[in-house]
Parts: sequence; C-alpha cells; structure tokens
Amino acid sequence: MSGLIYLDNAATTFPKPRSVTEAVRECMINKGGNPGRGSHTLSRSAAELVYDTREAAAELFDASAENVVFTLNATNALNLAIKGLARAGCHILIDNYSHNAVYRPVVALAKAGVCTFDIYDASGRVDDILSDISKKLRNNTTIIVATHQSNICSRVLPISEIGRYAKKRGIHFIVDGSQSAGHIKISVKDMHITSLCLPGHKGLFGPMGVGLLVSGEGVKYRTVIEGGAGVSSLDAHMPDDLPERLEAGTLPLPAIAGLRAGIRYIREIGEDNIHAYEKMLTSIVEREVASLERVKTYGSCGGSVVSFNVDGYTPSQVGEYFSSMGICVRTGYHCAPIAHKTVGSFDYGSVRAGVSYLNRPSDMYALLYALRQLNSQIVK
Amino acid sequence: MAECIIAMKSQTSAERARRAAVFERIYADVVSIDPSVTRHGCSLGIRLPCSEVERMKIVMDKKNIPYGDVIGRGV
Repeated sequence: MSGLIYLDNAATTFPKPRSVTEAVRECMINKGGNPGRGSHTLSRSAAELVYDTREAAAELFDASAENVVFTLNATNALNLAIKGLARAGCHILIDNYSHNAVYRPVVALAKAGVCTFDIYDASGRVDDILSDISKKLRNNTTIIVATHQSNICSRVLPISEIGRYAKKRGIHFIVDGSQSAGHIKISVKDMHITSLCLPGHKGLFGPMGVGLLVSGEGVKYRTVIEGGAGVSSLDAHMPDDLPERLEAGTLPLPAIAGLRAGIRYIREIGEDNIHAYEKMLTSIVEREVASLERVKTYGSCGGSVVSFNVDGYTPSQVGEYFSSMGICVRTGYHCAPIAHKTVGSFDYGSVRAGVSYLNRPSDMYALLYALRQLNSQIVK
Repeated sequence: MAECIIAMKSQTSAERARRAAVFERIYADVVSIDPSVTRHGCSLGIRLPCSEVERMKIVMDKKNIPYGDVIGRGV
C-alpha cells in the first residue's frame, strides 16, 4: 500500500502481520483438505489446524477450546448468540453504544413477537450504568448485551461489573468484542461472559471471513443455521455439543489459518502493550485537536478509535479530502446510529480514524496536518 | 498388539482426546468409524492399544471429554 496511510482499522486491520499472510498462503498451498470431513491425511491436518486455532483463541480469551465456535464474522456470531439464547416471551437489554449487529437482530426478534427489548444508558459511571440496568430490568429479562468498546469513540464499558451483575441474576451476558478483541484483555471466565462475539479480521489481525463466538461453560444455544457437521449425519438435527452444534457447513480454513497466526502475533506482543501503544497514537490527535476550533471530537478517547467532525464540512467531504491526500478513514454512521445519538453526532455521523499496532506516529501527524488544513480554510 | 477404537461424538472431542492421549504418552490417532456401527451416520473415533482403553477413559473423564462405546476395530 505504497503512499497510503491506512486509518480505517476499526473496519478491518490493514496491513496484516507477515506471519498472517504467510499462514494463509501456506494453507492454500499445502492444507487443502476439508476439516472434519474425512480421515485422510489432508483432512486430518486441516482438523488439527482448526483445533490449534480453537486452543489459541481459548487461551487468549480464558475459555475452553470446545467452546470456541468459528463464525463468518462478529455479526454472524452475535446473531447466533442472541437468537440462540432468546426464548419466547423474553426481554433483552442492549446498551446505547450498540452496533446494528446487535440492534437489528434484537429488533427482528421483537418484530417477530419473540422478545421485547430496552436500551440502557452506558454513558455514565459504573454505578449509573448498573442503576439504569436495574431500572429497566424485568422479571423476564434473560439477556443483557454490552458493547465492550464503542466503534465510534473508544468508550469502554465496565464489562466485569455488568457481567457480575448478570451472573448474580442468572441472566445471559453477551459481549460484542468487535473493537476490543486484540486491543484489550478479555477473560470470558473472570468477566462472567456467556457469549463473546468478535471478528477475526480486526484486532486479531486475521483475514476477513472468520469470526468467533466464545462461550462460557454449559451454555445451551438453539441453532439458527443447520446443515452438515461432519458427524452424526443420520441424525435429523445438529449435534448437541459445541462447537459443532453451531458450525453448520465447511469452515473457512485459510481464514482460520490466518487467524491462528494473528492470535499468536497478539500473544507475542500482549494486549496491554498493544493498548498502550494505540492509546499513545490516538492521544497525538486528541491532544492537538483541542487547539483546532472547527474540529469537534466525540465521546471519550484513549483507545484505538477517534471520531470527529469539522465544522463546515460533512463527514463525507472530509473523508474525500483525506482520501485525496492518501489517508484512509471511515465516514458516516459506522452502522451504529444508536451510538451516534448517544455521543451527539446523529445529524451526519462522523469521521472515524481507527489505529492498529502497525500504525506509526507519523500516520497520526499526517492526519493532523490534513485536519489543520481543513481547520484553517475551506477546501474546494 | 490388539487395537481398539473409542467412538467420539465430534471432530473436536476426537481431537481433544488425541491431544490428551499424547500428553499421557498413550499412542492414539483419529479414525473414521463405519457409519453402520454407530446408527448415527459418519462418526470418528480414536484408535489406541486395547490395553490403554481404561486409562484413556479415566483421562477423558477427568478432562470432561465426551465419548461413546469401545469398538473392536475401525475401517
């Protein structure tokens, strides 16, 4: 990507570590078998790769390997979790930073008459959040969903506390880890998470096409998608046990191979180091932007995402201008209209810069340079 | 040396069992089981020396790895 400055890592990380691209290439060349669909050498070695990746993910998220389900992406994982745990007549609570990957499945369940839902305010301090959850809790609330880190403003929700609250009341706790996985340490066990849903291609540096649903112990899902599972083919239903219960059809082996390499990369560096480095990058912008009177940032920073608008321009105009300078950012609503209402950017959405461990400080200074240009003049 | 096969419920449990066996220095590999044996269609099992079956069962019980019947031979 010569000459381009990529700051759209909240949509997907790019570039990937070399080990990831090498792993995908190696898989495409040497691991052609279908995992779990035979006992020949290639199928067996594919199955071992798949299990290795489950183990790597289980270690990263403090869970059991058999509770690591491969999905297409985070949206797919969230649908499997929300619809798989929802029961007729249930009530679901979602937070006011929710992505459409949470909001739309819940709305679909409500429209189908399966469940009702409410949105709790997660913008305050821990006590305020738990107090609002308590206010909105009903006797039939069986699921609480939380966005671990917002995709528009780096706001990090107190997952451990919400998880403890949910566990105490026997409520399923689903976490959208799309923007936190690989950036912030997550423990399914310690945070009392029922279902952790995340993409492989963002903070974990894997390729597009694979996501994860990592569950706590003993979680029973209804199936949303049915099909071949490689075993018990005479049964008319999916297997009872995870992960096969939720893995209908062939798994995306090359993407899984890349994901394994991505997870190893994360483990080598450590999430704490990644978080600190990314915080340093975004703080470069945060610090300087305060002196630019036409630039407004949204929500709390201190994470891997900075969201802003420039007075006099729509987010799309800013994005186009940045693009003309070789800077890739995301503009619009980022599929999270609820979150934009929460932070006050609902009218037009915002411009979002998302960093990864592979960005350099010079990328942030380039962004600042472009912002200063916009701040000081009307760019045609 | 007589070989036995322990039927497994899934690819994942078969792989878990194989790795647990390696850790316990039990020689075991994953094999297909004739669908007619299980009544559930395609199935997998782990093949190991019959003399290690009881020890393997203890290992799998300890690790909560679900398994099925012990079968005399694979295909």
